[in-house]
Amino acid sequence: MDRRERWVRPPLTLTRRTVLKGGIGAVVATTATRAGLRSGAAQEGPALPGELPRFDGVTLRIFTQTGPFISGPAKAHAPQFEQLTGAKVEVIEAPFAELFPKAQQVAVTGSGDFDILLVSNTWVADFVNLNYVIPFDDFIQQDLEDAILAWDDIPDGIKAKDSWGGKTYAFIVDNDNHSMFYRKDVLSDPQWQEAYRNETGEDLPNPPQTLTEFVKVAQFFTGKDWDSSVSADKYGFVTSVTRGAQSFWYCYPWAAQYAVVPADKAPAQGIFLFDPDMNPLVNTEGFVRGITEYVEAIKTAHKPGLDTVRGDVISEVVSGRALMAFDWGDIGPASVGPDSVVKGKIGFAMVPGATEYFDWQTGTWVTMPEGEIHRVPTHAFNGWSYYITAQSQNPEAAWAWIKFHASAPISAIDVASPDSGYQPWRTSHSENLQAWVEVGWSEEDARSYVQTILDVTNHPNAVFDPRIPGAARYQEALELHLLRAVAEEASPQQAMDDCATDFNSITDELGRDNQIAAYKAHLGIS
Amino acid sequence: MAGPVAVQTARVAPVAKGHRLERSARFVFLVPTVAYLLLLGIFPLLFSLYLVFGSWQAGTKDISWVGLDNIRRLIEQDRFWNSLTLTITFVALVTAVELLLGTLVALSLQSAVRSRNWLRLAYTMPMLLPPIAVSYTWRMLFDFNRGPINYFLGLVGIEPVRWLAGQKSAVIAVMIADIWQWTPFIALGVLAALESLPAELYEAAVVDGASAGSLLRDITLPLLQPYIVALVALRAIDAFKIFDLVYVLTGGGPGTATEFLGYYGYVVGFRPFNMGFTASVAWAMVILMSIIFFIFLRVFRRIEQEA
Amino acid sequence: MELAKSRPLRVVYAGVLILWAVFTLFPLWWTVVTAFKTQSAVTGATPTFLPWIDFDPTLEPMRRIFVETEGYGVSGMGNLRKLAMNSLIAALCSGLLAVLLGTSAAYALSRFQYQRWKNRDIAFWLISQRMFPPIALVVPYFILFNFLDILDTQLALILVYTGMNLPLIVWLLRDYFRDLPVELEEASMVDGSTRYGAFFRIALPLALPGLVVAFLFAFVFAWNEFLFALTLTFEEAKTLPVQIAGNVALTGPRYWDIAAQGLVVMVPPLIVALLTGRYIIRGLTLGAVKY
Repeated sequence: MDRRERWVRPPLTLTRRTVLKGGIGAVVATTATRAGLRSGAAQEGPALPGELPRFDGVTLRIFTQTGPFISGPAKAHAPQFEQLTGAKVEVIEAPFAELFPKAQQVAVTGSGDFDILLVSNTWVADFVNLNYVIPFDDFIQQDLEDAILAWDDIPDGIKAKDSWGGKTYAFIVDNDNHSMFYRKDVLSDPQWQEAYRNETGEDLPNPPQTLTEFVKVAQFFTGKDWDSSVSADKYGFVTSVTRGAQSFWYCYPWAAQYAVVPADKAPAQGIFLFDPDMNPLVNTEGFVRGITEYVEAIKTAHKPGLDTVRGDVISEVVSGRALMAFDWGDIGPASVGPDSVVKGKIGFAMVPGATEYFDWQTGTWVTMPEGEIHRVPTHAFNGWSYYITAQSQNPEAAWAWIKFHASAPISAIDVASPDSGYQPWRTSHSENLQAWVEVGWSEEDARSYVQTILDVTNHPNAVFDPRIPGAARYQEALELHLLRAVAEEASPQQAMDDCATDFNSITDELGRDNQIAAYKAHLGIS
Repeated sequence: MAGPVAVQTARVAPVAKGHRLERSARFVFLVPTVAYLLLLGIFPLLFSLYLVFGSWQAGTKDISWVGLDNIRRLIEQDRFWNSLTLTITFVALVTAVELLLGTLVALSLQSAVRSRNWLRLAYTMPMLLPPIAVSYTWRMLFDFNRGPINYFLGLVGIEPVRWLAGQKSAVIAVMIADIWQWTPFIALGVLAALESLPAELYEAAVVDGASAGSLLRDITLPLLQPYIVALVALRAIDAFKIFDLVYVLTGGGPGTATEFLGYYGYVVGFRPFNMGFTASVAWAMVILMSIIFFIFLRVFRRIEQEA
Repeated sequence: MELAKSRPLRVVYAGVLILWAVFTLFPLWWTVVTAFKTQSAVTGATPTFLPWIDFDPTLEPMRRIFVETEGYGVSGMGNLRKLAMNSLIAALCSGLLAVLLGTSAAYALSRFQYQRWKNRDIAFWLISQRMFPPIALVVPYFILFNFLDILDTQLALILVYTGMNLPLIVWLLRDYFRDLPVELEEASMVDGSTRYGAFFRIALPLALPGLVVAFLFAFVFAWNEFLFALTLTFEEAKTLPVQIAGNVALTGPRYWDIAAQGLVVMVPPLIVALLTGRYIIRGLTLGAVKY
């Protein structure tokens, strides 16, 4: 079929209701193909459930990460937007590790002339303090009924991440949280279930429900030949342990289960790294227990060499060498990608929980009632978010672009693609799975994948990555001390004590009162 | 570091009689370069010095005066002192090894009779390649599971080494990559020096019946000394600033094992946008390098006086 | 001049040459072959070394760089031609400018005796310019160039690279001029030529091999430079090393792509070296860096 034909708009008039109730499925079905995203051919795209204003002669400059991930989709959809509105879209890229210093330089000096940033959700505080970004609230109010924005289709968990200090400064087009990926074909194999029972005397949990179970399963399968089609050595678990490779985020799922108090028993949801007065919680008994088990799992059930980076976590699973991982959603789309040997074999679930947690308010351990599991899903990075800069000459055009790229039909293509780096975030992403089937998913897998990610987003205990000034400095300190513990340079307790000391000195340096105020703005309390 | 050398070349010695342009030529030839470096260098210099006493954080537009706070924080950090020790050790070791190997390679190259030009070119290659690309090459080579180095070690019965994950081995890995890339610099410099040595000395010595070993020991190496000192100074300055290699190969890890000063300033100060701290680290580096540089100067002078 | 007349010494030297050749060439070989490997040839149980013999070479990684692929463009190489042009322009122009300035300064330092600040002090001051770590320069440069409104332009990179290379070039060429016979210039000046005439007609042609080497170094170091390019450009003037550093951070262990991209950046300096090889050898053997 000619590639262009796929993009011909179906003769559908969509109202906002039909979009939300599944109307876009039909649209997406005819349009969402990887081939169709070939940038040269993408003059037409999926139909939008509404009209965009014209912005002839306007040029929008978007600053984001070096592609293909994240920036690729923006570039791919730009021609359609240009055709619809007459505006011109330029995408300016920088490597991930340089995005923050660069965004700061740009924000401080006003250089670069950017209209739009597509960067981390967690940097909002630093941008707001510089008056570099403008709130979206007026735009949202004005477009509440607009079907392209489809505000009601956005889950509350996403809206919580978009807002800061009572205003909406960020607009998420990607949902960054951690969930568990595991080989469901292996865990549901009766032979392995029997072998597991014989060796441990327990039933093989499918999938593991607590971290303790997880570690046991990972250890059991390490070194065993659970996938005879893969000739390399295999192991139970993979994570990122290299500095500068986003490694600090990988301890969140481990520490949070023990360190975070259920939202209804705490002053606010998602109190994790700090208490509301910015006292570090990283060296509490709960946090340290999580780190200890993490280190233990790396020591006993992980790919040898201690040199994995973020990309390994994905590739080790999809190449069939690692049984399980906690990661952002990318393993899902990668599992149907061309390099994958695990198509249809990956299970998706919320990260395992714990049967007890440490209450930092009382300094005591709390055991869950029999049969109940305490779960704390963690958001890491929170998601790639759009911001409009205060220096933009054309905020309306910028808003139109954001609405366009975030619209249900466009975002549905991105979140289903293995090459976008975006994870599902709209409620409707779980309803119309045709786009997923098009790129090689089974409908059942796609549903389970999208649902897991949305469940994490909407979970009452979910922890959002702190959005406070100097977030990057705290992260740097956490990564350093975490990896000292992983490399067994220091005991987990010692490393986390040092981390708490560093946290405090950063807080003092930045001004404790300011930090407390910003943290409360992040938590949504006063 | 800009020394106090202003453009003082105006005081021309009373020479150059008969050539009216001779006087002006002294300026015209030298001033553009000096002026260029001063103009380009003066602002960064003053600005970064100002930052040493200022706090400029993410999210703040203004630089606030904090006096000695940055310096105090720097001195109080064990991480800084570890980085300092590491960097000095690294510079001393790689410069020494590169000097040794480079001299050996240069002597060998000089003795090569056939296809010497091509050999020289081939041996020059590493130093011409982009450090970023070279770092990726070494990352592949050092890969624990799939790298050829561990494979070869396995063939001779040595357990695989956690090159980039071990406290010491990561430093060694960085050193190996640095030695690979920069030994050619020393080798070429020494080679050039060798070829500029006066042949008459050797001829006379050979007539006197000197052995090859004594030619090397008594004539070549002493004559090479001034060249070697210059080469080592240049190399040491560059080794001190090592950055690209660490950026790709280890990211400063494991832990802080390969956090050399330049990278330390980058990762602690620059990446999270704490510019006053970055400037403090940088100035610590400058002061340190100046000290080393002045030691070199003393050595130069002594050699000069002996000569 | 033959230093090594004795047989044992010759054997030692030959051994050194062979060992060093293996050490130098193997990493390059590894990069080249990996750039033509499939994923399975990289991730297999044992490493593979020889194309056609222990793995089947593929052009896939190269294709991902040079041919736009489907989807979002997995190559991530962006606009390769533009990146390469940016690198080339910055390296060429800064190389030429640095050689232009550096030659005259080097000539001055080797021909004139400066009184108040001795020649050697000036030379040391020049080389001390290399001591300031780039990490501390990038922010002031960013602010300065933003003020001059030349951020993200090739001009900014040319200015910085020229400053970066100038000290080394002056040192290199200073010794070069020092080794050239002064008599020819003096003779021409006795015949009525000015200092400028002597410089342009006598010294410069004689120094040509040295200039070529100096230019080669300046070109290559500018082509290879990473941190300044990273911080002083956004998109318009972005260079190749910045692009590959950004790509690889994400792709992690996709060694086949990493090698292909590394190779693409490595090739131009090698071509320049091959083309000017004759001059390198002559140039280097004529002048030696001395304090």
